[in-house]
Amino acid sequence: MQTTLSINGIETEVNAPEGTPLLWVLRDRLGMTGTKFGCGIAQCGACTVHIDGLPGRACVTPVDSLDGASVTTIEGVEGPEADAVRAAWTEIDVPQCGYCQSGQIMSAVALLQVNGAPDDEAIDNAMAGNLCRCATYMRIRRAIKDAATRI
Amino acid sequence: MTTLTDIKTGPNRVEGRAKVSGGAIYVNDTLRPNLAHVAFAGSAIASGRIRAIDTRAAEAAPGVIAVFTHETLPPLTEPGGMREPIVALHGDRIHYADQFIAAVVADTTAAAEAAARLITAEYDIDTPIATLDAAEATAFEPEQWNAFRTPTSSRGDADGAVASAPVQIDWTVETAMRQHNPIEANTTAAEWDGDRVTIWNADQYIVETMQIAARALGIPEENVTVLVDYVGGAYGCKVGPWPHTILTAHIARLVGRPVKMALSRRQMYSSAGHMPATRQRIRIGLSDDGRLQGIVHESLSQGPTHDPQYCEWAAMPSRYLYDCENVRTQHLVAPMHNGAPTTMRAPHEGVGLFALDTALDDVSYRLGIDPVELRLRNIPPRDQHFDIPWSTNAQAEVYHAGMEAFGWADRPAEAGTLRDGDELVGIGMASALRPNSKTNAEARASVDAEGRITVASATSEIGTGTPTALSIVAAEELGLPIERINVLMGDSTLPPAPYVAGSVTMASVGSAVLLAVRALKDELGRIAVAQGGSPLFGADAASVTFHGDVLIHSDDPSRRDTFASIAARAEGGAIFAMGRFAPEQTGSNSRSLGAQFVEVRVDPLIGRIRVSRMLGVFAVGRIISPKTARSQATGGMIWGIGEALMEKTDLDPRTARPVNASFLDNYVPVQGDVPEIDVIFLDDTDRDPNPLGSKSIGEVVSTGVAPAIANAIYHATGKRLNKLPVTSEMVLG
Repeated sequence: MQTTLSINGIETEVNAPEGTPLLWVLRDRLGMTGTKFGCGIAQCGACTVHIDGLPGRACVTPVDSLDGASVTTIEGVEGPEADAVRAAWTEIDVPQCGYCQSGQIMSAVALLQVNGAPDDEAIDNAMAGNLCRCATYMRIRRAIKDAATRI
Repeated sequence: MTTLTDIKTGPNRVEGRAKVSGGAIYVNDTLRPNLAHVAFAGSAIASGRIRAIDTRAAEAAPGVIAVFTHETLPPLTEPGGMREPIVALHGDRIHYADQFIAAVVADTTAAAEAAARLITAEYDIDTPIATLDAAEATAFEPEQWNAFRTPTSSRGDADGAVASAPVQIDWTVETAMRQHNPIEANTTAAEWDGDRVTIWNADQYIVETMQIAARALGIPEENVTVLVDYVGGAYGCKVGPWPHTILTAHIARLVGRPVKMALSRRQMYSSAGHMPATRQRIRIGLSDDGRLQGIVHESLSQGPTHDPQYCEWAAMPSRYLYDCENVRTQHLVAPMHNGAPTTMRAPHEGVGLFALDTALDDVSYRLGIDPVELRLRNIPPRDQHFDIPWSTNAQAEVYHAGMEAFGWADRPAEAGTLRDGDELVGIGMASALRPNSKTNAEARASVDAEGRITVASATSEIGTGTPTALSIVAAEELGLPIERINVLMGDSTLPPAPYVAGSVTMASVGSAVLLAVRALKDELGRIAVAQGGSPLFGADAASVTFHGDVLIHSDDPSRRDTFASIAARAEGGAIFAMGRFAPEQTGSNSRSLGAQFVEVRVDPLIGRIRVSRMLGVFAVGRIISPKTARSQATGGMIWGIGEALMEKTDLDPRTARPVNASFLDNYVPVQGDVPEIDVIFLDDTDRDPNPLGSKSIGEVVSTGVAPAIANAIYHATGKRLNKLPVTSEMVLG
């Protein structure tokens, strides 16, 4: 199936069998490996990208459902929220192994884009779908609050 | 003196930028021209034999390049030494559910996985052993691992001392089969060039993978290179090669293409290890004033039927945590039809502390002695197991620091008395314990004509912060900023490093780096005074002093030279030096120690348990890298929340198949489970000879959490629970 979508601002034509997950297109066809494969069933959040500005799981999103959509990945996310999140993430030592962090950052940026001063409950809810086995959660909470003050 | 560390203290993680930009490369990100993909088909049964296997549909499926079974795969040359002793596709015997019965190679991952599902087999089915109860009858004493990890121990007359003690407790606990559950599944890629192979492997021990791959593939070790930039979580399940790693390299040679393989999430519950379940009985005798008279600690741990090696040494803490002259311990392994177990953060002590420290908590109430005070009365004056002195022992300071920082004095002694609205509140604690481990390691330090300083060792970064810590070690020794240090790791052709496991890396590789940098300085001084073009030519090497990367003559400061200039004049334009660390037997011993303090809130209507406050106090030597050490500590403590309240792999008691083999229902902690956590590192520089003065951190930080939570639940509810994970049903029951 032919699909035309914007990926990090670049109009991209994809010809893939119906139902092909966006994640496979990103990683295997376009070589954009910043977005990670974790579970394949939207249970871990490692593949979180922004689809028309909202966080979504690339592993369960058929690319043919995205005709005309705008997709942003960890490689392309930018703006004051992304800058603040990256700065806070680095200073507060959020990543450990780092494998889930592309997804964590995409969820955190999406949260800050709609809520400039999230409290603990808002953070817990927004980040609930992003697993981190190194358990960086306490620093994620702190870094999101820290990032909110930097924007 | 105590230090309450702040996360903003200390240098940032050197690979931090890569890890916030999507730029850090993991094995599954390996992109090679003409890459093919491997998927394994798994056994539907847990015990028996493959009678017939039908691969025709898979072979005819789109994109399929080859299918291999035990009937068609040419065997490995010497298939031994991997994380499990049997190698799939090397026989028709089935030892556990989902054991590989075929490998499919295809153009894409999707094609390989789809074709693997088309493979069918007929089996001669044996009844699997799927529970500890069923396995207990065939339990056996495991082989000794080393001088400490032995199946039994006995000092004094433990049974007699317990029987004659005025206060006794006889307590049995169970801990669950648990999974490492890294977000990055175990992944391998391999590419051949003639008779040389490059293996990219998500790996905590690339040197061992190189060695075992060479033997299995029938080529010299120098023909094997194992690479890994970053490992996406490990926790024990990626220590050296599992069969899937070696089989992937084998298949790449057979199909003549580079191949990549990632275990499916389901296969992560059978083919990459687990922490075995245990059942432990502990009997303790105490005097009326709370002094330990005797401990008998017996552990039965879940083994596989096909591996006689792995034992969860759960009775270990009873040998060396508290002061007791009469101790007997015993370990048995009960073989079941499950995949091979392996070490998982934190093995042995981490599991055994649940028995020892819930028992002590229980008896503290009976004695009317505060739980911390009871521990303070039982601090061992020496290592009673080996009968040698401690090199350091900050155990009392650990408890005192924790009590003060957590506000322990405000805790009511009686259980079931604290409430906050509708919730029951409880405060508990437990000790944390692991050995202070170190082992042989080598590192190379070098400087080139541009003055670039590089330290190199074949360790790998699993998230613990090794590149940062090694940078700090080298930078401190040289008096240079850490940005000046380039760290090379993740390549088996570098000087050999040990497993990144057992909390050995800082003491071992860190010490090797320190020795290498010292040797590099010696080499630079020696070469400079002998170099015709050097302003230091002809000087006595002993008169040369180092100021960062400048060498200055101590009597004539106008005579000076730089690392870069000395390297530029040297043959090859670079200077190298090696550091080799080998721990000495010193006649003393030390432990990585700590204490966990926990506050829980229990909703008595629905049994919901929340951890609302945590403090970890650790005496773990000199802290080299404050940020990454602190991250290890909080991560380990949250890991302990998972152990206490969530993590359990359930095997179907009839089929021995894991029934919750996915993140859907194999629970791990998430954002909302995590309270505010404080960490205190005590000043505990270890005099035991490791030139850094560091100690093991990565595992001890996760120990003690589960008993501390169970003890806090008792304080909240008056319910003494003896099974991990603790669930709402148990609190309500």
